[in-house]
Amino acid sequence: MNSVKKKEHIKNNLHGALAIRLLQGVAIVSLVLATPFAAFADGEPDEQMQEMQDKLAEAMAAIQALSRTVSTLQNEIAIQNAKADNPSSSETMMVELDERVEELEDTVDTIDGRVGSRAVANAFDASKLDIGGFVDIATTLAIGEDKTEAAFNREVFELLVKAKLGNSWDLFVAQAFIRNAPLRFSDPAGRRSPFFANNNSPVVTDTVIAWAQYSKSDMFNVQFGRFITPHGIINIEHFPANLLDPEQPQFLRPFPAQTIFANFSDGLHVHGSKYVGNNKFSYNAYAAAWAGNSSNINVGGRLAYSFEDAGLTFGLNGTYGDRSSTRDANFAVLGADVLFQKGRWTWKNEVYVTDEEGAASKYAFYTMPAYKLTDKWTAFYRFDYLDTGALGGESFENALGLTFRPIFNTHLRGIYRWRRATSDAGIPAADTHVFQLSTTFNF
Amino acid sequence: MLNMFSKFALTSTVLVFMLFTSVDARAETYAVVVNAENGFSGDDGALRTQIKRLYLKEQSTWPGGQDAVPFGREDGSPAQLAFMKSVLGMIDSEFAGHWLKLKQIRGETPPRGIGSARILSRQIGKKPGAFGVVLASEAATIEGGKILFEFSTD
Repeated sequence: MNSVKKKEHIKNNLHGALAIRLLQGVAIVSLVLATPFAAFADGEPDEQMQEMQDKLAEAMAAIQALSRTVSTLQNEIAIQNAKADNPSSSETMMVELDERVEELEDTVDTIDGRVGSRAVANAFDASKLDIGGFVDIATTLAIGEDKTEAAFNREVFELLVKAKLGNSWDLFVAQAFIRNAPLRFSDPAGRRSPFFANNNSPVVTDTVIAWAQYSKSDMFNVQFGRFITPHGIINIEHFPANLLDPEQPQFLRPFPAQTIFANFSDGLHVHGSKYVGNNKFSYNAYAAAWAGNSSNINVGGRLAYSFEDAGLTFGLNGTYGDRSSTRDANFAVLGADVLFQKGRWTWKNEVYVTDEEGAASKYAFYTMPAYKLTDKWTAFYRFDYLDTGALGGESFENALGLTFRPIFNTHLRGIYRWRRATSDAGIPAADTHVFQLSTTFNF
Repeated sequence: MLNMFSKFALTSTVLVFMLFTSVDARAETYAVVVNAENGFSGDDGALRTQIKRLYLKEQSTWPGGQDAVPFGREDGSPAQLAFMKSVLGMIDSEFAGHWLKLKQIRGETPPRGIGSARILSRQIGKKPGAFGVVLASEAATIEGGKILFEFSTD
């Protein structure tokens, strides 16, 4: 119904009501007025006069009531006419309601598109459940002094699951399915004949991370379980999807041993952070066992301070423990890291030195500047040095890489790595040239 | 004659250029809106920094101790793009990289992105630690919410 018809309809209804009320009023007044005249003919004059006055009073009251009714009806007509003459309020309301219905329909459509007729997955006992993961694939060509080898040497699928158990409790698990053939050397000095170890081995599974966390505040969180050993920069970032070079520096290889410190720890981890103006202080402290010697507890931690405006973070790392459960092998690690991250530049640096009981000290460092060429392309270089203290244990690597992210969750990389094992006690130096293409898809 | 023609052509070009640039440069004003109970205050820089830390989940509580409940807008929407540029100071790849890192390390996910300003307003009005971004013209009508600060896209 358009507004003109609506207006006429309202008017007609109100006029009808008014006419009925007027007719009723006239009928009442006529009846009241007629009654005394009829009585006048039969009764006494005084009584008749009194009765007539009473009737007159009633008639006046009826007229006043009728007048009020008419006035009310006239007001109603005026209001309705005003509304009909100015339809903006009702039309605005209708437009707004239409918009709201459209929004709701869009929302329902979005939800329906995601769910459709499929079953909705629910967590048994978690108030929130997030699932993601990644696939990391690499193919590598290694040209050594005595041998050249190539392989599709890494296919890793990792599933990440985060469950919110309660207001302050979370659970995080990273379960990996790994087919990995790391680069090794088959010659006695371990430097001339590259090969891919376990290249035909079946897929192995590894629970990379499995921790439950209680969060009291940003400053105080406690993790129990298996967590990434909180030292440095790259080991904390850890996952291939995060890394420009999925081959971690030499001191974090072989994976997951403990050349300097282990990639993962099993135990208790307390951590937190606090902003001080524009700067941020953070800490990590842990007591945990490492791979290969689960009967020993290592204690360690990291302190870091970030100057946000300058894009600089300084970290200090330290740990103490025992590397072996079968012999006395106490050790201490001291390390420092510096991260510069501003604009297109990211520059990571870490250095570690160890003191080993019954063995030579170890020393390692790397420096890794990276420059974002465009939103999608990044170039990086890494100089990486390791001295394990063992015979022939000194080596360095120069890695040059270009990475490309065509979309956010796809990371393609091309990396050239020149590895040199230096001469030591009559063992000649040897070079290996490694070309690797890798990609990480994450969801 | 040629000179007059040149002047006319030059003037027309300038006018057309002004017309197009004025259309391109038309700036929208947005507002970051918080729950009415939120007592946090400070200068513009402090407010933006705090919102950035909470949205990016580098902090989980407001300075007063209230749990933060950040809301985003739909991916690619003008409001979300304006918020990323003017408040977070991030481009798409930086933003994606941040969440990729937090997902892998801590299992964190970005705040829920809400398409409808009305639904967002309702959430902000209901939850004490909530905040989100809406057009400044929409902000005034939010029941149970208040404007923390406004920003423009230019």
